[in-house]
Amino acid sequence: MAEIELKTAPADFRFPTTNQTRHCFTRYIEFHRCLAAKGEESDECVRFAKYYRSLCPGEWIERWNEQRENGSFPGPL
Amino acid sequence: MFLVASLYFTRPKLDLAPAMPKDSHAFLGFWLVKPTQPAIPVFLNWESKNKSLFFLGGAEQSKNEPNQMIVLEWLFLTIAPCDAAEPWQLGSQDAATPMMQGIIDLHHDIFFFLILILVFVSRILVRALWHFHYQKNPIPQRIVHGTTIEILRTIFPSIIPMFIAIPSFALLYSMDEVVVDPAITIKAIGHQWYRTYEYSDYNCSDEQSLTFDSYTIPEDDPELGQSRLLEVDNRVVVPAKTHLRIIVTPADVPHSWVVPSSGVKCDAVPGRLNQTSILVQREGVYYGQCSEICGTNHAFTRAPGNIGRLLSPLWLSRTTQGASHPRSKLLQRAAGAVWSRGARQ
Ligand SMILES: [Cu+2]
Repeated sequence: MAEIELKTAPADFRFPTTNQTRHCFTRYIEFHRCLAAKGEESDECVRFAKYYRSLCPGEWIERWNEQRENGSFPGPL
Repeated sequence: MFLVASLYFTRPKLDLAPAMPKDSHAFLGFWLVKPTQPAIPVFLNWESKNKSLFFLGGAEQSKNEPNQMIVLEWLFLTIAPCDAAEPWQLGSQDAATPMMQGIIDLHHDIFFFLILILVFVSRILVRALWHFHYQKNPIPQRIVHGTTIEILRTIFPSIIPMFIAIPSFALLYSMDEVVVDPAITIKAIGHQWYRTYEYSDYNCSDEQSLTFDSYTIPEDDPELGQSRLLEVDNRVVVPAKTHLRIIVTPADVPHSWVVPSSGVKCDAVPGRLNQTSILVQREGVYYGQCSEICGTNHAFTRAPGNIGRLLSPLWLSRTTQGASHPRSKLLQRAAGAVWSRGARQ
């Protein structure tokens, strides 16, 4: 059996509480800012993508993606 | 470990076991007749024949482990599992995490003071009633003031809550802290009336995901040995002895994700992600129910999932083993208690 490395978004000292809503949102924004800064093909942003996918419910991501396409995304990008 | 857990859970009945016949096949008939009782003799036989079974999670994994797993799987899907509520149960369910062990210990600590106070107050009350009698004590004493007694009865009742508060806060804050990087994030999304679980740590795009719905098996549908309104169609499989981050949120109305033997009760609030972290220390099937009135079917399909099937040999890779020690002193102590309890069986 191949070794599976278990890995997920690390505990973030900015979000030490039970409420992780901001954590997910911030990681999502960080990813898109990273894309904007480094360019779409950059590999550096992949880890941010992993983080927000680990933390955010799929439904939320879907909605945010839609909002970004429509230009109605509420956060700073 | 599942077997260990079962034995521990049913310990008061163990004395009956030696009187039972030793052949496991004999029990087959027995437990088909009475599905709730027979777990004990079957497990006892297992223990004597397959000592190695008890170390599935440890280093002593044998080569025919997959076969044993199949046998275990067959056994445990058929026999009523023990990490669920029992009829007429008075105490907590068996602890599977340091958190739950801490809760149980705190309960016992508090009960010490509780009984102390109960005995003392009853004594005063009964004594007063006894002596307040027109024949034995025609002229009652009239004490309206006493400095010594007033100082004593002010100071002692204020010290006792301190003894209760200190361990209580210690436990509360050690449950709250998430200092260790978790190994897996599982999202438990509450719906009316089922639960969706997402494992998205390995997704490569937003569209891809490992998601499944977990419905309660309806009241008229469970197979022999399954717990009524606790069993679900899709169980959540998580690794044992690993830090898990559970993100709890609903998609409609408020729900609550609860697993009693893990000491977790996490409210699911719309628009908010609540995190709870657990470290399950033994393998087993754990049951829980929604704990927030969430609509008509809350009472009937009231177990919207919450079930961890913890099989460490399948999941636990060496990379995670180092990361499985609780940070706080209190949780470490509690962890020791769970482990030593497991070893004693
Ligand atoms: Cu619910």
